[in-house]
Amino acid sequence: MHVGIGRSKLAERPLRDWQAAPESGVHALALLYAADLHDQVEQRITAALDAGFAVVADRWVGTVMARCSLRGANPDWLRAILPLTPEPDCTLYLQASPRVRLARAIAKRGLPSFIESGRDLGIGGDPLRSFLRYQDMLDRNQRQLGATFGGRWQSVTADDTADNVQDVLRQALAHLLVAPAVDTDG
Amino acid sequence: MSGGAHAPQGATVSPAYPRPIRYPGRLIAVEGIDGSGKSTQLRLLAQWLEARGHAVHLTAWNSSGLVHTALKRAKRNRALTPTTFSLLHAADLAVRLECDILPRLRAGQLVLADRWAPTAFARDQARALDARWLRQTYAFAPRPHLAVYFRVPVDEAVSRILSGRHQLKYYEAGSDLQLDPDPQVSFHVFQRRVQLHYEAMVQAGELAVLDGLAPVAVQQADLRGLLTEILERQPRTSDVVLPRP
Repeated sequence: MHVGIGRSKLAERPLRDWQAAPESGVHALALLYAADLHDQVEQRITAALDAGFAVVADRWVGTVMARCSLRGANPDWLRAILPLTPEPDCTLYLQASPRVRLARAIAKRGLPSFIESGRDLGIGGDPLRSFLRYQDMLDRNQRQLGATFGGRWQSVTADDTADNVQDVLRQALAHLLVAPAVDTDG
Repeated sequence: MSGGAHAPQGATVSPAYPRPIRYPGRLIAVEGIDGSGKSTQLRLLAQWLEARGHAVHLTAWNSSGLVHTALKRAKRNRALTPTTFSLLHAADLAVRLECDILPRLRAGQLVLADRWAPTAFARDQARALDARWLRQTYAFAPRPHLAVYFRVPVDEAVSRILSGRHQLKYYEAGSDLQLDPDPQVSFHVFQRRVQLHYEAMVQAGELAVLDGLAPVAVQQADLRGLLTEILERQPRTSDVVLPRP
């Protein structure tokens, strides 16, 4: 099952709208993310885990904490409102250098968006320079926060080709992918 | 991910609500169960204050452009759990606070709020959410200079609401909690729970009380009386010297 930030029907729209109106503030952003993640936990993830599914989240609490704490939200407050359980069995942090991220972002969507380049933070200059600075700040913030999430956090170098990064991800997850038990009694 | 409880209990920051406001403006909130008459009283108060020359801004629960539509859709689809119900209402307040309320408080205006964080404390606790978690969630919201609770019996509130329309709304009646298949019975049970949490806040000195059964004019006079001290220190619009452009 695929989940991740901004994927609940409940909060997907207001989260998108927030990007067009960042003056609404970081508390609103964080609370919308919290509603988004709690909704996915309560409506989908818990049941899927109970049924034995592997749940793959395309960004989770760590990303929200990095984005919102950079915008001034108190990390303790963020921990209070975000769903810290169920705790991921493994968090894989794909760490690409800012310049590689920039090249990929431009190839995919053209000029990085206002929020993606951190221009709401007023960290300077043109969109591309702002993007590089913002992504560097996010990266440092994310790694610091990751350390507080315990030993199930793993950083993976992501500057390589997609195939090579995929090989590394599969190796990193191998210990979790145990073959299901076969019923031989009947 | 590992399975396990995901309830918000167990968060560990110390409660930060209420905290003082350090702005020249003043924030006044009214509270009460649905049908308690608080909105009528707040509108009358706003008219009176404006007539006296005060700059007044009215703000209502669940009214921000960013969140209101999402909440309306989710309520229609009955897609809210107590936790997401609470978080979206908190997001609504956060948007209004940032965009509408704080700028006006900084400018020295009077902001009149039809419901504030105590509404969430009462309603969401009635939905069995953890009191400490709720206080933490609303830690971003400043404490009003005055918060007034309009006390009415639940029977009176129901009769006032049903005199204006035929049906109670699903979440308003607390039907999401499956308290009773009859919405009116469910409303009674739910609002009584809400009332208990309001009364606890009254006991703790967080809310001033007005008798919601008193005649409208008497309630209004009492409400104005509660504002006396605040208004003595509050400049009127004509007193404010604007900077030259």
